[in-house]
Amino acid sequence: MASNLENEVDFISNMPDPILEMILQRLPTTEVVRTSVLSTRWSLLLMYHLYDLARRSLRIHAARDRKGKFPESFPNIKTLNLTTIDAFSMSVTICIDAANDPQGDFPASFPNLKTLELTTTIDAFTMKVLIHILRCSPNLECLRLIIEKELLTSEHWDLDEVEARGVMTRHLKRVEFLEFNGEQHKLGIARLLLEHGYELKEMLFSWCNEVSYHEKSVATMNELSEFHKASSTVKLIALLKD
Amino acid sequence: MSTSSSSSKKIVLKSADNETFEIDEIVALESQAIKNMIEDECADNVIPLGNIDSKTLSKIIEYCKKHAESPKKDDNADIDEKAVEDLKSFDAEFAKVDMPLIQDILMAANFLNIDNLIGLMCRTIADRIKGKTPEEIRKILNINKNDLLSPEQEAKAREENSWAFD
Repeated sequence: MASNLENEVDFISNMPDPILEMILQRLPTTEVVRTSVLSTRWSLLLMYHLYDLARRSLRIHAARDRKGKFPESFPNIKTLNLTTIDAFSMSVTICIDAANDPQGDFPASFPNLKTLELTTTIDAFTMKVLIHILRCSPNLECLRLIIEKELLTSEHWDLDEVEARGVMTRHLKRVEFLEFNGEQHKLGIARLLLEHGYELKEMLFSWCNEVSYHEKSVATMNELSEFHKASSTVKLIALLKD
Repeated sequence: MSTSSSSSKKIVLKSADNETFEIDEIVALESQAIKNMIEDECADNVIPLGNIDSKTLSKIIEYCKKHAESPKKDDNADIDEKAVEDLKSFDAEFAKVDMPLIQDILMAANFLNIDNLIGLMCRTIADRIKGKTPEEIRKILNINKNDLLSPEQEAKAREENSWAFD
């Protein structure tokens, strides 16, 4: 830690991640986004920060910075992807933060969002957030879900707890369950989406395990075909990844 | 572990440039790292801090002294508010230093594990960045030219987040 007066010492490359993270936590959301162009290391850190923020907000009520302004809508966003964690995750963070606000209306909308890929755990709360996102995406056509296992034992919840009316946008045509392995809780989501997806054309289950694909996929597809479907033309597809 | 009445007990800290600082143990205990050393009885009379220069170290001691002397929250409710205010204005004055020193203090506070000081420095940096353009922030943080985004990457990031750049 010899004196840095000779400059040439880059603050960001010098600081350990936890410290940079602490600085980020003290900045309002808008400021954080504005810093995304600072440097490559910072951008990388920022992505994790936002991702983490998004994940935490999905789980618990995020402390929202009230000074940070929420944009009314995101007209340019066509694809939203929470796994590759690009700048879009910011929008989702805001979206989710806003969804946490019990009084306020949901201010954000994604008028041109066509594809949404979401990696998330599923419980009553994240389902509500998902429904919020679907509601404010009137032109969403494809929803790709990667449902992660909750590491901590989450309390039992029932899909019926989630207010399902108006879940689906009229335009949602395709739902993909990625890394599927016949899990019951994922079938629950599938049932919910089938029951309310009037325009659904395809629901795809991408199995990740060859053994269980051969053992279970037929039975699973039979189970699925018995669910009530709002759309008479929806096709159910099972395939083995690679 | 020593009790708080041992304020007479002294600890000597030695900076990277071999300057020694004799301080009350109670002041040194503000550093969780030194506290651990003392509790584990692996601290000699002189604690060498080979990565902290004397300028930085004297600032840190100034901070720890003030914070060690100020009455703790649960002591007395009446003193509380005044003491908190006093400490606040001390912190505000303390943080009025240039960025390189802030950076040195932050690194040292991180090494010595002084939570309050780490928090104060992070808050200070955040306050200085607030409301600034990326160009200004780069200057404030002295961001390495080799670590910049390519013009294409930057343009993309700006476009995607255009609402934040108004």
